[in-house]
Amino acid sequence: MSVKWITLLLGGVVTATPNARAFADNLEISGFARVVGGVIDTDKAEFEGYDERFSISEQSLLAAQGDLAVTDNLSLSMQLLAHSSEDRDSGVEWLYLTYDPTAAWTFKLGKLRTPFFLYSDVIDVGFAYPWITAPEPVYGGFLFSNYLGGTATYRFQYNQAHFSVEAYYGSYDGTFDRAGEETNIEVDEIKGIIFSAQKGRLSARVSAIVSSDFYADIPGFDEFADLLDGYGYNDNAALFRFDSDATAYQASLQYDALDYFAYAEVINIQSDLISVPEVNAFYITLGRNINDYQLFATFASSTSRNDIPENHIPKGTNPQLNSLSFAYDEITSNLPLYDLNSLSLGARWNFRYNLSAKAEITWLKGEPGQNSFYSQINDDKFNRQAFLSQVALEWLF
Amino acid sequence: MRTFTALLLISTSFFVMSAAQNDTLVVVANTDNQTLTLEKWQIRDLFMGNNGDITLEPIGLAPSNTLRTVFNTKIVGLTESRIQAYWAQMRFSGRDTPPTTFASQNEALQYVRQHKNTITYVSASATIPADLVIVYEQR
Repeated sequence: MSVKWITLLLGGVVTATPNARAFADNLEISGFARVVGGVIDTDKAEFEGYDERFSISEQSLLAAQGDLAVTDNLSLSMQLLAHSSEDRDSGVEWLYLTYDPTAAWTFKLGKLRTPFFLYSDVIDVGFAYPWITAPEPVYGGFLFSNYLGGTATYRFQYNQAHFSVEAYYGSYDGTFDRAGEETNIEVDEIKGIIFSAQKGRLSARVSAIVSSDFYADIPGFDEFADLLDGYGYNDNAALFRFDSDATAYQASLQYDALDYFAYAEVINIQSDLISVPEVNAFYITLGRNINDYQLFATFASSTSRNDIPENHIPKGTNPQLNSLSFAYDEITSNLPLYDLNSLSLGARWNFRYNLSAKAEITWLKGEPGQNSFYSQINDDKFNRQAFLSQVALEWLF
Repeated sequence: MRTFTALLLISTSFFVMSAAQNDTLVVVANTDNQTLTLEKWQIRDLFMGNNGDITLEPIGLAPSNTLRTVFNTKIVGLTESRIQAYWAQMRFSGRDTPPTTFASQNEALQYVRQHKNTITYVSASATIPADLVIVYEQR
């Protein structure tokens, strides 16, 4: 499904609305904005783009969303986003049709946000969560923000609990964020399912997403794989191709009371792809609401490993195989790893119903020698420990 | 001056919370079912977008209205900012939109009287129009 095809479809729907007055009556505009400033207490590395100089250019953004009710059960939504970071695209973030044939069923078609984890599809809406930066070990990378495709959601009630099942399918052509590194990728098939349950103050979410048929623009990998295939080392060659799957599992629990809250989320990424390690990560947040103020603490942790086939390419038989074998070892031993523990303490002041001021300090403890989600490491001897301090203003309109 | 402003804001917050503790409310609906009664959890779920089997459109009050604070505290059990955060997540993930709101209870009542299968909350001291059904009374 191409962007052009979807644009034509959506354009047809807009044209079908009866007249200008009806258009204005049925159009609802809303949006969100955030100004985020941060600094890290070292010059040996950068984290989320922050270095030792205070910057508001990494996560600040402005977004406007238009929802047009075409009929009672058909609507068109578009979200435009302007982002301050050079690593993020600005432009159309959402563009989709929603069809609600009954109260229980919802279908969507178009350009949609990828709902990997609990906050993935609202990661830009800082007002929606307590943190300034969502816990990096869980939300730090390996994700792409949107996809072209469709979703079907079914909701039902049992006793006092509400449930929903959401299935989605689509494709992605764009960049892939790997802790600050951007790689161009195409994913021909994305399929996922989300189960949600809510009863009173407790809500839960369990999900799985499978991304298949990758093409990643990593120079030299195809040629290297061809050479290894030519010598018959197919297992080792397969590592440098992208025709296998990456699967992400997620489970979360949230408990919200008037004066306190507790959130926990755990994820697992299984991957045969050289660009995506296997990751286990979680966070736990405990928070207290005191009138218009909120205090919280979050502990987050990730461990990762790369699933590398044993090197069967012999050394010492002929010069070309020798160099291929050493090259294989060199590449596979230098793949980045993402072990990180973080502890965040934060405060939020909701000084208007739609405006919040936040302050947050995060202690980062990575693993020496690893990437540990640092977007840049300037000194190899850096011990991967730092404090990230951030302030933010969140606005809904 | 800054200290004075902070103290003023904190004391205002306590005043609003105190008003929320003391006021009581009733929930009324424009429905053909004259014997309809709802439990507190059903009203909470209805106003948080989980309609379930109840086909009533919730009509709320604007965030500046004190009665909304009473409703948030006594029925929903969440702070205004948490409710706003929840609806931000729902709206900007394309899942749901918050209830229609009005600035005053009189406007909300007028809307509910004019629209079948709608529901709203009003102060227990308000005069309830005879054509509306009281579905919940806070005790």
